[in-house]
Amino acid sequence: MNESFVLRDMQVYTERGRSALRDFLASQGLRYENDADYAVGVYDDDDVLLACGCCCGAVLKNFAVAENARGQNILGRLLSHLTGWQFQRGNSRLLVFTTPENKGFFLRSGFFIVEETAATVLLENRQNGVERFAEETLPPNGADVDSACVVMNCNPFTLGHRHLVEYAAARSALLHVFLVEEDRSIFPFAIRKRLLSEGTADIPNVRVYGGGPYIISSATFPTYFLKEVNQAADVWAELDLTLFARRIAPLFHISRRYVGEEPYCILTRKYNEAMRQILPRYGLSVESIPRLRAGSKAVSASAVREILARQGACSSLRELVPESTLRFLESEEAAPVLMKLRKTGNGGSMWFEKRTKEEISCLN
Amino acid sequence: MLELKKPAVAGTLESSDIQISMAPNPGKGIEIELDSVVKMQFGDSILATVRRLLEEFEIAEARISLNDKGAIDAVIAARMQTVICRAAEIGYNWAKEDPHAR
Repeated sequence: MNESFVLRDMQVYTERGRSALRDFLASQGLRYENDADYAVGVYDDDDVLLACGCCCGAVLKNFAVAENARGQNILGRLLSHLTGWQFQRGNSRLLVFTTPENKGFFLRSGFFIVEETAATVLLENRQNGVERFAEETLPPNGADVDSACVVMNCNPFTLGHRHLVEYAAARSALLHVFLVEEDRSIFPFAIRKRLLSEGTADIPNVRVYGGGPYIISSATFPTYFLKEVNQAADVWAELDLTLFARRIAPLFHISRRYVGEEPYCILTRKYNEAMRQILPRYGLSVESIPRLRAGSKAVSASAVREILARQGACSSLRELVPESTLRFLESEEAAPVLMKLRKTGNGGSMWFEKRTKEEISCLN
Repeated sequence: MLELKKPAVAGTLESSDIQISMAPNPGKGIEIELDSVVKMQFGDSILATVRRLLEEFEIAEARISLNDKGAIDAVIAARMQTVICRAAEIGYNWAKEDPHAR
């Protein structure tokens, strides 16, 4: 065994580090999603990069080992290192995103499969994670009736969201609303959740939960947060939706998913399209409803952020958001969020600044 | 009784080592998951070492996951000591095991 490998931080916070990583992954036929917050490389005596692995939040991914360096358990070194590093920064519930070829290695290393598709495998370091998520999420004797579901980001909660929830709730015994939990939107999760709960409090058959790592998260759908439309997006949408249909829906007794029509964002539209293809395969139906309109435009969270960025909390928001959201926006508590919005001048992602305006405007 | 404060990990996935992760398990006692390349031959002995260390440190509640790649007893014990100290956020007097230390 070659003992002279060294592991080194690849410094993805520098352009040089990122391009080294991108080039290496490309040489291995892999695509770099540009969202790693930490990457480690394995180098030989001559400082040649032989292997790499990345972290993005609690997700481990982009594992690659050069052909000539295989068979030496380099993957083991990478995984040991990244695991230790994650625990140190407080992430002990880890997810791994990898290709079907590498599945066996992770299964032998304390990971369990969450979901797999032809192109991708998602694993996590605890058994029955999805079942435990449902157990922790569902109220006791909560959901034994035929239920429907809506998944939203609510950045922030608008009358459009309200319209969708109202519509779905009126047609269901119980409606589960999963809120995207990943904190990668302008409005923090805690605030998005509060505004959603307040804005739907008067509808008795609505339950609001965080989607955890299983529903549109960095693990199931990283490009959602990057808003990049490419071939990879299809792969991710398939993973996210298959996981939803096969694992989440049965536990929550969900038979229908409601979704708002998407007039602006190509990525969301493609996701919705994939939904209509994949969910029926597992006996779930999908109903798409037209967006609520205010005047000539569809009510959207991006329109709200646009106004907030330009004019701050003002009366023209009244036709876009419910009373509860408006109250928050006018409160002192909203100041940091509004400041952030004014600074970025759009409703964009906090992590990735080099997005075009068009791309950003669809971060709903 | 020693109380665990946070999840921790020690050891690696290299051959002849063991990776042990440990997390607080309030109200649920000791739960151990063992995955080993030599589980058939040495599973019981690995678990015995793990339990011995838990007793030594007086740990009554913990969720432990063992990923063994053929570690010998001394390595298992050392990894256990390390992961316990990390999870309980305590220091360990390594010198107490050194017969030559004064």
